[in-house]
Amino acid sequence: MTSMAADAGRIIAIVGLLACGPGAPRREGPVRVERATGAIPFEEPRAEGWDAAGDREIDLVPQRTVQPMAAEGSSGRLRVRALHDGQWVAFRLEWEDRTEDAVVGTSRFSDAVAIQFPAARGQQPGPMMGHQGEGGRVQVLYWRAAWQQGDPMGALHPNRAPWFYPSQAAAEGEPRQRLERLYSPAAEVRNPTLQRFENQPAFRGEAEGFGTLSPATEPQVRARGEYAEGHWYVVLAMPIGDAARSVLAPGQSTQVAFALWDGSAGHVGARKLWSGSWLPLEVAAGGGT
Amino acid sequence: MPRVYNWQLGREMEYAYEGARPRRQFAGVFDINKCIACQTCTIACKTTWTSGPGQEYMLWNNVETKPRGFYPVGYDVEILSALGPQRWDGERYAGRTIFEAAPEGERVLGWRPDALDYANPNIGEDEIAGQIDRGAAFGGEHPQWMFYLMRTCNHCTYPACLASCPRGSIYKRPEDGIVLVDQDRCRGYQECVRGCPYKKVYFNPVTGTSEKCIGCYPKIEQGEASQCFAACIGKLRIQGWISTPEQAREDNPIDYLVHVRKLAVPLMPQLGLEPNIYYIPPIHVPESYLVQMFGPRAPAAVRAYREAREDPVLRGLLVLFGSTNRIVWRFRVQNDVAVAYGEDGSELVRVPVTEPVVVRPAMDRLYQIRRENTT
Repeated sequence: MTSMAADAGRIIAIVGLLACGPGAPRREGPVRVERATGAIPFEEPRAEGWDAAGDREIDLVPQRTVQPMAAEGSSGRLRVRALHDGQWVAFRLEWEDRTEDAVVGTSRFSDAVAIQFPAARGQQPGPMMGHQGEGGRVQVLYWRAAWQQGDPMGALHPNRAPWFYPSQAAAEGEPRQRLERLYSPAAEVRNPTLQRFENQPAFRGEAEGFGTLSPATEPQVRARGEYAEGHWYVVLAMPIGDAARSVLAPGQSTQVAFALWDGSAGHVGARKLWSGSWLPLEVAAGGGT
Repeated sequence: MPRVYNWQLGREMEYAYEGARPRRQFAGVFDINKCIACQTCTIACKTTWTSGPGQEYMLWNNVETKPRGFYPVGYDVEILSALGPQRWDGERYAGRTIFEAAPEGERVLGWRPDALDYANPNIGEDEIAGQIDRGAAFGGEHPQWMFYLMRTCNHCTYPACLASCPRGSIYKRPEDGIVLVDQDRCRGYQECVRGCPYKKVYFNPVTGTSEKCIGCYPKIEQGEASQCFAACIGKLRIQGWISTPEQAREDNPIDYLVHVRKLAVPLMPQLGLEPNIYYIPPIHVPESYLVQMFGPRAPAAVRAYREAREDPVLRGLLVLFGSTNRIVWRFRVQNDVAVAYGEDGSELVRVPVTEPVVVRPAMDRLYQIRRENTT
């Protein structure tokens, strides 16, 4: 290397350091899942405990490959931190969003975020829901703000008049539940998004191509989102499972992709922002506690 | 994109999937001229299927006043405006369907109502088309007009809801052509709500899934007519199965009305869905409006309806409307009697085409009382 080139290299390194100084996320390199030194703050997306985690910023682009598509020109940026404790892998996702969309209704959509990995080690599924990959499925962790609403109708219509439902005339217990199911076909057939693991505001699924997302064999998932000062902070976590087989086992390297939905922008389903491709993911070594 | 044949357009068109007609196609004919907008059909459906949380605003069946009533607000105006002026070349459609006019990135040309568009389920009720001038008087022809339009899911041959769903959660049953939302697969993306130009798919905010008319398939499977058909006190509906034009049978009541006599026409056929609810159009409405809403066959349908009284078979079939709660597979009119038959050929009902008239004398001699007309 010539001295001029070496100087230029030093200057670039210094500028790089300034740009990524303390508090600034990395914009290159793998997403790192660090070994947690204490308890993972699953229920506290804004806890200081997340500061110790690797910090990576990812640019998101509109999904414009399959119909229906997100509007051209939209973009987003996701800040990712991740920790594991040998038992669980947890991601803390942060992004700017001027509107908190946590209620669904006709033409009202929820803010949401999702993380995608290959479902099994050694597989190279396509980055778009496993579409046209070299075999293999993807697994998806999907959080939706609206799933944190205990009373969706109350949230949608806070001033609504009292309504009488036929089920209310039935005796409490099984007779009433039977009538409630009669007028709630999705609940009657146990739609997986209504039968979420421990009623968490998230869904763990698997897919093998567009439109194929279905419940994962292992449903365990934990999630919690908080909206503050124009930002969403969301924790999405899943158990590592069998360390001998899991793609997220300590010491493993795999791939990860992210998707983001802005309810106010009409994002839902395939109308979303996403990371555009797989990104490398490294899980720090360190066994269970 | 696959090409399918849509006989209502008289040509092939683009559609999201290969054409696959069901073994039988759910169909019905509604006589608009008889409707009084009592909403009995609406309530029969509502109490049967959509009385749960999240379904409050759903009207799988509704009756609206045309031209100024809608549910949801402006559903027909919105899609016709989005599509823009189009042209028929005789009975062949020379314009673009909502599938062919889909913008980049979309499967169909659609639009999605807001929640407030559903806030007034009978907006525009009984409003007429325009102002009545001061001093105007009835001179044998109404200067202004309105009519009631009763609407359910059309269980279309080429459903836009089905084409719109990126998850394949909507399917058309091969045994009867009824279009259903799979409540297990649906994830509530509302693409079907956007895609259906008739706005007959509704989003349930409690379950987070979309729901629609199921054609009362548990009744259909037993040979019974759907709730909205059976409940119609105006006897303006008849339910059956429709064939394609080349397979039309004269003894099939729906085929006879649609294909043979061309008395009944579909709602907004130019959109390209080949809807399977057919309307006997109102006889007092300007032709231009009728053609826009029911296609180029509407004026001839009006003429045929006006002449129906001279036709014993047509008269007979019209009195069979609402005369049985069973699905009518075949019919026969003979000796001033109309007979309906079921799937196995058994007689469902027998109706005199000319009602026997009984003249009751004003003076009741038994009680020595003179009866008065009180109405």
